[in-house]
Amino acid sequence: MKKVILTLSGVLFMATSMNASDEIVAYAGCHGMVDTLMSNLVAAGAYDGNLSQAVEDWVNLYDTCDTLENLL
Amino acid sequence: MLKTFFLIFFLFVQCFSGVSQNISGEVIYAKNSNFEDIKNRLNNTGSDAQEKAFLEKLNNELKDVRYILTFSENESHYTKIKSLSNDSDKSTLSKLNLGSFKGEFYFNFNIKEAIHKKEFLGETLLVESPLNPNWLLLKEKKNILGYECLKAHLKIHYKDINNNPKESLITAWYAPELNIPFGPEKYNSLPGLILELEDGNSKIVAKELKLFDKGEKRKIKKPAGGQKITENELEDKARKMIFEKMRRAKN
Repeated sequence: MKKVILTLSGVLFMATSMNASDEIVAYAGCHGMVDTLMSNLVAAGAYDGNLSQAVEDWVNLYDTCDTLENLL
Repeated sequence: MLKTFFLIFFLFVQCFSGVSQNISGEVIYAKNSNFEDIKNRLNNTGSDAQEKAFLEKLNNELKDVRYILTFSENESHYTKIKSLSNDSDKSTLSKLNLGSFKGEFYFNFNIKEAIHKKEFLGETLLVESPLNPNWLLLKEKKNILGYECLKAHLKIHYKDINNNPKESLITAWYAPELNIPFGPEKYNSLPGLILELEDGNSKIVAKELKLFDKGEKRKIKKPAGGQKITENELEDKARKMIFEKMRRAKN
């Protein structure tokens, strides 16, 4: 279980050595971090010509946050 | 004057009649993405080191992704080769698709039809893709998989998130000896099979090529079962959704 949580939190740049309270604090900002990351990537043109993929990736990251919430 | 006209017309007809050479086969391509350019642009958006670290990690995960192009006389089909490794072994990053090609691409040179079948928010879409007839053929040569390839450039026009018109330069290397108009992803219509393609953020290189005997022809199935939409319509729809997400994020 711990490994799963750590894998999921890895995508949101959290350290793999964090403890449970760190994870809870980190989750609180999960959607916000996704919004910041995706907004910046879109603004930098990372998805130019393929904006539908940005929407998909954005939603996938939210799903990761929700999975993390359920596990916690 | 009239002679010159007929000569040009004859060469033109020869060129395009030769395109549907009667061969079939498959090509395995490896795609490598490079987000250096995007990382540099992130500097201008005031973002911190986190996004750059993210791209660095993604760069490493998106190395050598394999795709297969199957082609017959007039049709081609392109899709990702399913990995045999267990998905749970990979980090969640690999579920993101920045720079990767998703779904399947079908191209029929005879009827000039190009369809990208893909999933979008749980729905299957049949995206009508524009053809690329405006390649600029260059003289530069190089050898790929034992075939002499020629260089070609294509300018792709699109609109960014703010609806500003932009263009990017695609470089392809095609083999005139394999006189078929197919290639990876949505790139086609050159007088030879595309064996290498570069779009700024990624490079797709042919690693294996198999040509089949006449009796061994592969049947290529046109994608079906999805909602039809044009590439521009899908981009506009996505742009509106992203604006809404960005607006909510700011609040």
